[in-house]
Amino acid sequence: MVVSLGTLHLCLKGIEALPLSAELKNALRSIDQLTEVTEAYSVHMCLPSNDEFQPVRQSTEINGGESCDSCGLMGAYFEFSVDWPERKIIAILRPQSNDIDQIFLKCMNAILSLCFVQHQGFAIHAACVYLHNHAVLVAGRSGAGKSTLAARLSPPGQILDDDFSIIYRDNGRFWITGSPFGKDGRIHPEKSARFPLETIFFTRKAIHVGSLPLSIAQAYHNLAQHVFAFWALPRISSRLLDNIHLLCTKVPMYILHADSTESDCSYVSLVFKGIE
Amino acid sequence: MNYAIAEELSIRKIEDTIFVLDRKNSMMHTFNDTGAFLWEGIQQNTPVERLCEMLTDGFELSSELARSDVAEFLNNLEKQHLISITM
Repeated sequence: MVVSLGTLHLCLKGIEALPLSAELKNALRSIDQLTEVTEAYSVHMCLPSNDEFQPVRQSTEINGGESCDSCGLMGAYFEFSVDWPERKIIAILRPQSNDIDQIFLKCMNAILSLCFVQHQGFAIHAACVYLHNHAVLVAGRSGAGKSTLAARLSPPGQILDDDFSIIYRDNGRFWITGSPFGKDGRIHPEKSARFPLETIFFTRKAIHVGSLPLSIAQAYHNLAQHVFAFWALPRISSRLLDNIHLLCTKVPMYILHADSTESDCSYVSLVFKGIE
Repeated sequence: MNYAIAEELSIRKIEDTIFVLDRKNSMMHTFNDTGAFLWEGIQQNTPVERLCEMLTDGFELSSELARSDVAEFLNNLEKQHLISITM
């Protein structure tokens, strides 16, 4: 079965055999225009017992998640391999997970972010909030309060995604889009809307609200920590570093000091400065 | 003392800062202007004694302090598996 995401072709071989919920399988069958990816990749997903996709030249593990109880792999309950010259992406789902839907969608997000590397982009752990069709990103370490901060920015803004966003370049400017593959195990086509990226903020908890502009090197240092990275793959990591650098030269970035739990909401006007 | 730079590194210089990505360990190392100065010397295979002289001249340090700083920097790079040192 071939499911087309624009011109990204997902060959979900043996999808019927995957231990996904009927709801997710139905949603996957209906996908046809979720992204604007223009490079063609073939993506194969299969169970470990299937030996058809064994020959791979490079491999990496997915960031995030816990270690697998059975195989001890850090990151997730699936293997993820890339045959870069052949543009073949191989994901082997491991059936030990209790929530295979979420694992599957995490894997799809990894594949999606990999595809956007070709478009001078990458995926980033950051909340995306948009206002008047312009978007800002709020990035921060786990527990830094980016989700809470994003929630406090809405209204007047609207949240596209509170954790995972994709940056890419098109027609000379950077755009931000969300992933339709939600961490709730559902597909959200509305998240594949795109907005021009205006600013990136890195949150720091502080008593006083304020923003601090970052130099290109400082922005690079901060941004690299939040990128959904494939550092183990030499050609991809090299392109990622160049993409991050380009973004740092084009989009202003700030440290945002704010305590999102307090009543002082003056950071809202700081974040949307230039958009309102 | 000789040293060799690890193979699985991606290096970028942005403004005065050098970023060294260790692909093997997924670690990004950042060097300030002094560190960048020394790292560029290391990339050019500069002998350790010459690195000390360059640091003395470039940053107006005493030769003792420069030697100590270079030794510490090289040790840290080795600990982080960015270079290997052979005596």
